[in-house]
Amino acid sequence: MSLALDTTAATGGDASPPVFVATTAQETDIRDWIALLKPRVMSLVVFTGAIGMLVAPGGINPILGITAVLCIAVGAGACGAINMWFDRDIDALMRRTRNRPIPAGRMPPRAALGFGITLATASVLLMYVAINAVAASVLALSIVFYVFVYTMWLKRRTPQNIVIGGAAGAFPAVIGWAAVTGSVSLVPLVLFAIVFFWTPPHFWSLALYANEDYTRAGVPMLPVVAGARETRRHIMLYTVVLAAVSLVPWAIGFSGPVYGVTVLALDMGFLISAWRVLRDRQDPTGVSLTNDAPARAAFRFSLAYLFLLFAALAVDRLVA
Amino acid sequence: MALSPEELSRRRRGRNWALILVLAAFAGLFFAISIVKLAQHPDLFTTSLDGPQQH
Repeated sequence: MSLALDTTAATGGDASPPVFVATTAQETDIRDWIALLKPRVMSLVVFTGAIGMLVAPGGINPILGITAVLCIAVGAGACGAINMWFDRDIDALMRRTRNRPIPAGRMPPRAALGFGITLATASVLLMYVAINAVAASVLALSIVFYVFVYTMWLKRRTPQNIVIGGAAGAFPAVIGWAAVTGSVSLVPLVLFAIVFFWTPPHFWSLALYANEDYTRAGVPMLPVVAGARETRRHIMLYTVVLAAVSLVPWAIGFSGPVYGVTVLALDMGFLISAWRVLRDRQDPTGVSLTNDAPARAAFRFSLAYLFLLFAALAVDRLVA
Repeated sequence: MALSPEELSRRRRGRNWALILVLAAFAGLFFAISIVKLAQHPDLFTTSLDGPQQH
């Protein structure tokens, strides 16, 4: 495979280093195309989208339901591909991302961009043709938000990138609901709010122990800009808000005891995790003396939290 | 990281198979969606073949 120095790869300012890229897509392995779609992120998005559909009033033909989930998955994958195209300069600097197809030189950036745009367009069009205009519009909005507002605008400019950008990941439940009902009402907005307030403590827990990576890449994550101590306070604050918001479906009578009991237990667990992060043993500058063990545990718990919360919502609706 | 002709050929073959599968799945999906839509709106099908329905 021939390699060339891509001096146009820098998108984050003059300080960005050049990136070696493959000159042709011919050598790219099928696994690299799949990696562009960020399958792990996609699984969470598909899950929340499918639950949004399951709990919505009314029903949807299974084939159309599968089509809607497919559109949500492809749309999320498209966002991942475009994100990897745009962030290829900083991805090359971070240990966690430097083996991605573009910074590793296994795929030309333009191929990833073309792939992402094609998938984004196809997912929205298919959603419109097969499902309805409202679901297609919300899907298009989520893609535009993730690509332009989060990836291109906020991510490199503000430590609040995760807070506002988290909205992009909160859309799938709304899309799933809209696919069934053809409209957006209070309940999908509550589901949106749950994912929205879940995102900051989830990513800041990761950022606490992946701090070096973000510092090296110049991404202004909260721990980089405000320090670990302030980040721990923010994690606690957002977890308290999340715990309150997560009770709303139960409080407004949308869900029953299965959800209520589950979410109370989950909230208790998440609050304890956040409290442990806040009270982590640290030096005077806020650096963890435990290798950020509580933050690692909180990150793992946050993943389980969202899966179990949405699963409880679905079980509750099915039982009722 | 030079690839041997065999490896290059293997990757190309893998990509072609993946493309065939995706295209076949896409065609199947569109067929299934069409059937569902026609089942949900039989009047569309009737109208297009027999003209406007008379009451």
